Amino acid sequence: VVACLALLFVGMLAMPHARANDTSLEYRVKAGFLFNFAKFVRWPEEVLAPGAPLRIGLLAPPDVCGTIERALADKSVAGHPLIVERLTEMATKAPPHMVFMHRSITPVERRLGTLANGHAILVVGETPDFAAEGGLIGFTNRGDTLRFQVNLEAAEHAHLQLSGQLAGLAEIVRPHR
Amino acid sequence: MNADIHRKGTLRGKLMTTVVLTALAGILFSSTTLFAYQLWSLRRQFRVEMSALARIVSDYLVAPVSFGDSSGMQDALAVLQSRPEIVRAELRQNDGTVLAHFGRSESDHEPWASPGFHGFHLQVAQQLILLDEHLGELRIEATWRPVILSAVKSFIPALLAMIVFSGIGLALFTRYRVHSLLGGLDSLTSSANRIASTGDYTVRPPVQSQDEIGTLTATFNHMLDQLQATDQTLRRLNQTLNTEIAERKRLERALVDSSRVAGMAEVATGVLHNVGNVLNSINVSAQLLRERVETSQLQGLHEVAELVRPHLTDPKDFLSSDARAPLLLQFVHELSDQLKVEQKLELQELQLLGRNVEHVKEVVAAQQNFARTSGVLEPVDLAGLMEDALRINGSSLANHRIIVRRNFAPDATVETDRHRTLQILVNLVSNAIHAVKHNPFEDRRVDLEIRADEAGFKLVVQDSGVGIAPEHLTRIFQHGFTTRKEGHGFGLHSGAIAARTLGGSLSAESEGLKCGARFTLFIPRPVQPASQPVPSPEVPGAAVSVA
Repeated sequence: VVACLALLFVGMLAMPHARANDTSLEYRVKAGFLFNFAKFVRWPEEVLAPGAPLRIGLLAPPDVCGTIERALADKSVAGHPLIVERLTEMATKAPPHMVFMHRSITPVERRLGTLANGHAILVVGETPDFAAEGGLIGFTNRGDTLRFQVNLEAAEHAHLQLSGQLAGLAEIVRPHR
Repeated sequence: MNADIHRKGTLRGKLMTTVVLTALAGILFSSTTLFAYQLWSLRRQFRVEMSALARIVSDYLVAPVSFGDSSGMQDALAVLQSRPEIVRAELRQNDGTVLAHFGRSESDHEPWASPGFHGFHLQVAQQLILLDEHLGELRIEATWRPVILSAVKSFIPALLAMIVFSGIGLALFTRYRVHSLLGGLDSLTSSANRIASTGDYTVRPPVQSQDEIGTLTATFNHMLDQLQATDQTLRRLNQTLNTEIAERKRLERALVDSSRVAGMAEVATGVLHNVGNVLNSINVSAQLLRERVETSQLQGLHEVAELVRPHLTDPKDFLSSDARAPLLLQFVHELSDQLKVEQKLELQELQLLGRNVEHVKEVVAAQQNFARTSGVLEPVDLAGLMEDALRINGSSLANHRIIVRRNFAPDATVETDRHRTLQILVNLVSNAIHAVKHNPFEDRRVDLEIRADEAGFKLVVQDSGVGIAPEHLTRIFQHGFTTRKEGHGFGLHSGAIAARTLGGSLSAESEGLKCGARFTLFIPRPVQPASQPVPSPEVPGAAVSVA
């Protein structure tokens, strides 16, 4: 199924320089998930005006960032062109609308507090229990299937409106106190 | 069969049958129509429901398809599978790749047709769209046969129950209404039957309502009033008519009696008239015989007898010595010749007398036959019959010195009633004699003619007498009409009737007074060749008729 999904998203994203190794495949799949998350999440209008670019920040090693950048290049969601940025480059810019944190980014809590801090940012990570530890969506593997967990409280705190379809597809988790 | 039932049934039964059957037919039609509409609604509702279900499931499938969640896809299809009417479903991508599907029957592998109903199956196609992006398509095939069966199973018992209960209710209600509506008609019918059976026009059915039956009853009563008045008038008229009929019958009987008496008188008059004519001839014959007997030569024979009486003892001496003897013998011889002539003439006159007496008998017998039945038909020589008529009137012809001229066609024989024809001719000749007897001697002519043609014979008696006035020409054949003082107006009347009895006719012609008259008796024959008449010389009437 993963292979099928991979092929699906490869076709859908039309990556011109896809690499054949597993890391590249994994993050191309996850780039597709990030693309779909953007479809099922609604940002406040004052944060994301109609037609404004939807910025995705990456906290990840350069090769991963490169894979994701290529996968989401020239994409748009509901009239919002996707712009992928590496967070080391946006220190002086406005906060992005979505952040992907690679599993190598630690400690998570501090980073999350710095990043979110009440901003309408969809924080996606891939560390175990990422959503329960304060993130909003965390990838998790169920057998050979890639699934994801959602922290509804975090979404509410970030003033983000998640689609019921997304919520119905995800595993709902509660944050650790 | 239907016509017999329609004729024989009562109005009440027909009304009840019509109302109940019409109502049941209406119920059945309405129920069927309602059921058809219900099926149509169920079909439309089924389509709407399946479309809505497909839309809901497809919305649900957007996320699983977006994230490649096959279990989510199967979960969505499981929702469809829980519906028994859905026989198969399929989720496919835009490129035709089947992501998930399920099927219940062998038709599972049949290709999908266009969306819509195909028999009892409905196919629905719903696109999966996320933010204007087509992700794929969900197809559903469902059968609505269970819906129909369910509807039929619930409809049929309900329909039967409705028909049964409605029929019972309708029958009871219709019976009540028909009884109340037709009560006036029943009363009207029983009254009409009573009037028809008893003829009692005083019966009046009560007017029970103000509807058409009430109007009919009131009109019926009004008609009865008029009928009753007319019946009474008719009864009075009938009584009057019966009285008139009785009086008319009495008068008819009296008239018949009078007619019978008049007929008897007519017959008697005819007999007397004809017998009177013949009696004239008989009288003439008797006078002639008496004159001949008075002037007979028997006196001479008596004188001879007186002469020879003294010589009876010695006749030889008388014959030898008396000079008168040779003269006596000569005288006896001549006397014998004279007596022989006398005997011959007297014998002829006696024969004529005998024929006249015979004719009297025949006239009487003919009149009796005439009064009773028609005469016997026999071949009759019309010329001989014309001569008989002259002979019967011979004395009058001779007394008045009338000239008789004959012009008879030869072989004028026809099958007819001899005596009836003779009566006609005798009467015509007698009338001619009376018409000419006061003329100068040279102008006392009676012409007799017999003509023959293919149709029959015409026996014409024409005279040069007083003639007939034009105004009398049409009346002379009426009974009792005559222009003579001594006439009784019977001869021509009976002659015309007798001619008609013979199948012929009797006609009269005259150019006016003092112009003479011409009477023609026509006697028909079936087939007789016509012959030309042969004129005969003028002969004095007395000499010819008496000879």
